[in-house]
Amino acid sequence: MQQRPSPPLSRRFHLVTGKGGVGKSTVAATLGLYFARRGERTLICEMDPRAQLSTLFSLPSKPGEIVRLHNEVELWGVNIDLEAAILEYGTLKLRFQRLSRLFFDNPLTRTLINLLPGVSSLIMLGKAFHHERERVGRRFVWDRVIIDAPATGHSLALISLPRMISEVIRRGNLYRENAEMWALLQDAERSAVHVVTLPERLPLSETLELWEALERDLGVARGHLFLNQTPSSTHWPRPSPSTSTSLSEGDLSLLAELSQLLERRHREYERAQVALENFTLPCVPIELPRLDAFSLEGFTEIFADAVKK
Amino acid sequence: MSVARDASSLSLEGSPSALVESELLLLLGSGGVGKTTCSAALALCAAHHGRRVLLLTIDPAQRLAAALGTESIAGSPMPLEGAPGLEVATLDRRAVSDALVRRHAPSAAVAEEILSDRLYQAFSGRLAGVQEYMAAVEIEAQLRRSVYDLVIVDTPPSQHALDLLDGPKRLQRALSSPALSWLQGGWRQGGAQLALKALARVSAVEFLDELNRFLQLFSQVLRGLEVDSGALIERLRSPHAQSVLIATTRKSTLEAALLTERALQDRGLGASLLVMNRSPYPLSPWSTEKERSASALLETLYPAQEVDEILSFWRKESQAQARQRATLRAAFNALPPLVELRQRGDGLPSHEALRALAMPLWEALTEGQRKLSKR
Repeated sequence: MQQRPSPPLSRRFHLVTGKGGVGKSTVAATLGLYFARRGERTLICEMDPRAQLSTLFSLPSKPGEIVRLHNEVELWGVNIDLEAAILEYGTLKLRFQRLSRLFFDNPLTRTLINLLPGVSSLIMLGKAFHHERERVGRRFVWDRVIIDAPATGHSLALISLPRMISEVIRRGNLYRENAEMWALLQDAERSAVHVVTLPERLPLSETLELWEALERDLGVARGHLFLNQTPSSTHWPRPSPSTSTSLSEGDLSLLAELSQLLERRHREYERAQVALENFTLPCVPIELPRLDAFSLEGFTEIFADAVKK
Repeated sequence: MSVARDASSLSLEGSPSALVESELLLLLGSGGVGKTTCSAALALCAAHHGRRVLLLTIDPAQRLAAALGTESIAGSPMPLEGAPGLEVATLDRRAVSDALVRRHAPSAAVAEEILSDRLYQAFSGRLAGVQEYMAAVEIEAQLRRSVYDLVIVDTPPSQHALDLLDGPKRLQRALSSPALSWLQGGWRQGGAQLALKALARVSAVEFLDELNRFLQLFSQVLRGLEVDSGALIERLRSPHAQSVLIATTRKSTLEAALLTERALQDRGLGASLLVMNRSPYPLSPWSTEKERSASALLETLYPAQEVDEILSFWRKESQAQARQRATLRAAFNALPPLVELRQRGDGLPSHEALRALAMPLWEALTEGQRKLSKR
């Protein structure tokens, strides 16, 4: 008997995916702050040399280190560094650092890591999974673990890696690691794979592909579909042409500017509507607005309201 | 200037480009900047101006097809309806890979062995550097055909690296002797016993044998290719090739463009242009004076309760634009000349609308070319 999956935000492990430019890192950070504000000890993992997490929280970038992101709540972040992850993984699994160095420094392993795309992502993913499983005594170290999936490459490729590697490597520790990772991703009680998109034609069509493939081809536990940067529907009519007759030159250029500004705002809204009309979304998305002036705190409050519905 | 062009014989009579080598144009930029649309628009523009254009996309077919308003894009160059002089092709990873294996394997038997290899099937679409290698080969092949006088390449979204340029070399390096000979059995020999033990604990030893076999096979294919991995970079050094960076007002895309430009300059290359796509109408900087005048103006146009809201919106947009202009100005020394493309209209863009979009870019590029040819 098929049980109804638990609500996505009740799960411990979150993977935020989506194409480049949709605001993935912002949504991952917001999700993190959302959980942390509810008293949960939360870790956000990113795998991006651009260290967007640090930028969002206005902190210096410290690759490989788990840093506290927020003064008031238990929100932490780590920018998973490949080299450090390789060494740690090796040390963890091979117990001796010397052995680990020997293995990971040899040309074959380096070749493999360079040659097989996503092996580096896999290693970093493995590090994130390690955090998910970390315990102190019987308790988990982290109440919530969020992964901000790397923007490079298709998220599908990243997520399908564990399975692909398992099919090729059929024995040994690496196989077991993968199998565990894979099981976690498929467990609708423990993890949620979210997809972030924009109300624009191309991102939407690509998102639909991703969304379907996640279930159909990979069988992963899907979370929410986030529709980011949705334009405001507040309607301010553009100034009518008749008003321009009695204005000074300075005011005329101001009027032109105002017209263009409101015109663009209106067009953005219309374009989003048209884009959405042309797509039957696979589920009810969580709409996150385009803010005139963005602040993570403000955005998180809006996020909290949006997910409540 | 009208050019007599017979599609079937591809006559060069009267074509101004007869004297010029095939030109190459790479469009670079991170995801979501409108690269594919820009490349489509530019290709249409170029064809409209009498060039024989090949638009090559290394992205899944659908994006470009959607941008051009057509059903799908084939793997080999096909003309586009309603756009004489333009042909479009996609570099489908798997198809290109298979085709190249067939073409360049030392024998049909080796080709089939590779194609049926488990590792090839698992990784062929994804081996780092292979895709880029194949793309570089394909681009070079198309340029050498001299069928087109302009080849425009819509590159995959890249955050910071020049995968397309670096990939081939990376692949060749990975397949170079030290690694391969180690694979061939170097790891079994004495002195590597500890490493062997480590390997056995982490991954299956038979996988290594399999990988070795696959790499041996595959390197035969690569050896069969005439094109050297550095060919594309060399092409870009010539005056007949340009790369163009595309970004939007979104900060991350500008940062990516900057990083890419730096990477290009490290290789003795540099983009010709930075394109700011979806550029909004320029707003004058905010000041107390502007606040006063704007507020007064708004009061004559809108009900009192809306004035504050609209004013606040106006102020924030102006300030955001000013901040962004400052960022650009600060980085300006490092960046190539700027071309702004205004936001396009709604709905599915027509070819005409796309051409209009790309006109400023086309003019900037051809202007640049004229300057170059004077050297």
